[in-house]
Amino acid sequence: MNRPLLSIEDLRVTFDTNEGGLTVVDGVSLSVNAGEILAVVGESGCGKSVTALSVLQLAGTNSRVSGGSINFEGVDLTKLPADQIRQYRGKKISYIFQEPMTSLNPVLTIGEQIMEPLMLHEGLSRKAALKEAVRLLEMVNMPSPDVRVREYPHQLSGGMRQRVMIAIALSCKPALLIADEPTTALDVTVQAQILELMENLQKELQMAIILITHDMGVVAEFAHRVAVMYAGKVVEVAPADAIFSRPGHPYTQALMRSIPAMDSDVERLPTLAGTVPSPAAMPAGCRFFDRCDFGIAECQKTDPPMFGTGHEHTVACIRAEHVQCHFQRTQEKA
Amino acid sequence: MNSMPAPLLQVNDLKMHFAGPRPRPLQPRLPVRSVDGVSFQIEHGQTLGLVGESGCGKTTTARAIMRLLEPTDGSIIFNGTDITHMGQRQLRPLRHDFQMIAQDPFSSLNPRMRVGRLLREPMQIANIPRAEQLERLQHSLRRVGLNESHITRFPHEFSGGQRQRLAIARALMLNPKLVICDEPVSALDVSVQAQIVNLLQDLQHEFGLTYLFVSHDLSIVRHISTNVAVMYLGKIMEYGTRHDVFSRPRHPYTSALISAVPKVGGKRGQRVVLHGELPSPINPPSGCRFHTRCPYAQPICRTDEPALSPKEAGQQLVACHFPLD
Repeated sequence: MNRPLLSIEDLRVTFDTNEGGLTVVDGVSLSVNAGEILAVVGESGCGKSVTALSVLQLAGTNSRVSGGSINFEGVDLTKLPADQIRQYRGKKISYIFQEPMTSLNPVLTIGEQIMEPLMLHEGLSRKAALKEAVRLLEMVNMPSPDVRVREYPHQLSGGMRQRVMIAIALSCKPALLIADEPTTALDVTVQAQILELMENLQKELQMAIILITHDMGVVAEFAHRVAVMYAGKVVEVAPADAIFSRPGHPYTQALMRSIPAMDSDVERLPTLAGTVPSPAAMPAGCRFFDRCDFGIAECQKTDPPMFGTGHEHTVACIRAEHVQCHFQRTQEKA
Repeated sequence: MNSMPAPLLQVNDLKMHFAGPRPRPLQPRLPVRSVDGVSFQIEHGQTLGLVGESGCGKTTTARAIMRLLEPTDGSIIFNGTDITHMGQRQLRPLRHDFQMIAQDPFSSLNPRMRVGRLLREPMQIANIPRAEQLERLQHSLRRVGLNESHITRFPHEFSGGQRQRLAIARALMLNPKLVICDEPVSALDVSVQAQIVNLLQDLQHEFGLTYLFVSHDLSIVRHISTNVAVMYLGKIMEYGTRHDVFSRPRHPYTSALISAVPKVGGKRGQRVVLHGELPSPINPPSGCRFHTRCPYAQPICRTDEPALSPKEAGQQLVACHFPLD
């Protein structure tokens, strides 16, 4: 068994606010192997973006890692001083943000923005970096790259801007790419283009991807492995096909049910009652208890640990096996 | 879809052009043809889903029907009255009957108004007696799943889903007949989306509402609509019953849109990925507007614009020279 490329162990991230510390990531453990696509799924506020941002110490100055570690190639990234973590950003680990509109610098040409990491990390000359920038734009299927390289972000469409973001992220051939909702702001047809592009490049460059998304459809088509997060915790980790065939956590099931299917008809969409608990007032025991159909008294006593329920499949639910059986029975009925 | 008695809303050859850029200084501005000849109708109690990518003109169509924009050409007939060029003063009493729910509940509610005032505003404009206002207010809050304790709160104290409930309550305050929903759930989390979609459907059954549901989310449009119109670059490409359009799309664009939706349990590799970018509505392609990105384009597609007509009698209308089987 080879060692994972990145392993996050029991990570806790706390934000200091006027009302005291809020722990929004509470004991998250995740790992990504080289060349693997891991999807991290969950709704707004579940801590998926903060977890990802913490990898490169980008979660903001009012946040701090209050526990755990992030190991990348044998180095704990949480302990690195500012000048050393900078050696990783854009070089070994790259980041694609959700909003291509706001994450590019509006006063620099896209060429300059792609050249920056090349000159900084790879020590290329301006001339060589420009040539490489055009090649990268070509790689991400940008139409007429030698013209576009001199244009500003406002001259490009949303899909083209996201291609530029990908070109920047891949410029130094990172071992790990973190993509935070890379297609959420885009139309479905553009989303299909971008996902296809990322998948081809992933195969070509053999990099690992952490894909943060809330779209189970994207997960089904794109990811090798899936981690589901809820209220600052990982509640289920499984290979992509297992998460759809045998989801073990009631929250995973609820997430999947709430998307209207394109090939079947229902009168009403199943919903999840209640709301996510606030990080300031987390309940004891299982954090999903109030919204769970399977809850028993036992659930409120202790925070459920991760149980193994199959090959590389772990679930933070003491009733996981019952939940899985229930899912399979309802599938058979349908 | 054909000759039913008096639909609630009838839109005929609607055009909405804006003043675009000047090709050179001092030359006249070029028109941006955002909506360029769109026709459809919605029967009482039905839902028309209007789908398409950003920039296809679907929101502009909705805003023109709301008469927030002055249509360039065509006509909008609401409940038997032609409202296309009606003055704002004449329009005001009619506005009680058609209301809109905006996309972003974070910017559509005035942050400085408490919930009570936000929801009372439409009733004040409609001169509803004060005594009745409070009763209606409480009733409608409860109907959308909120309660009286929320009356004194400000919009920022609510979550996205709750704010969209407020926007719905506000739109329904005057018992409208038609509600135009412009991407009402796209700013919300999936589990909250389902709650809002269910609420909209419950309200439709309860009050006999008619919806124009504008969205780019095909799975939700498929769930909620009676009929569907697919727009591309200011024109309707395909228009028919939900079942016809989704189970047997005739237009290559519709088919590409449907196949682009990532599916749980779907098979890979059957996807039609459209290449290239959406052309500019300032200078739309000649002939069929979709020919620049169409995998089946023939020479005729570049020169002749296809009419919106059924492939076989009784089926959905499709604007394509070579409709799919």
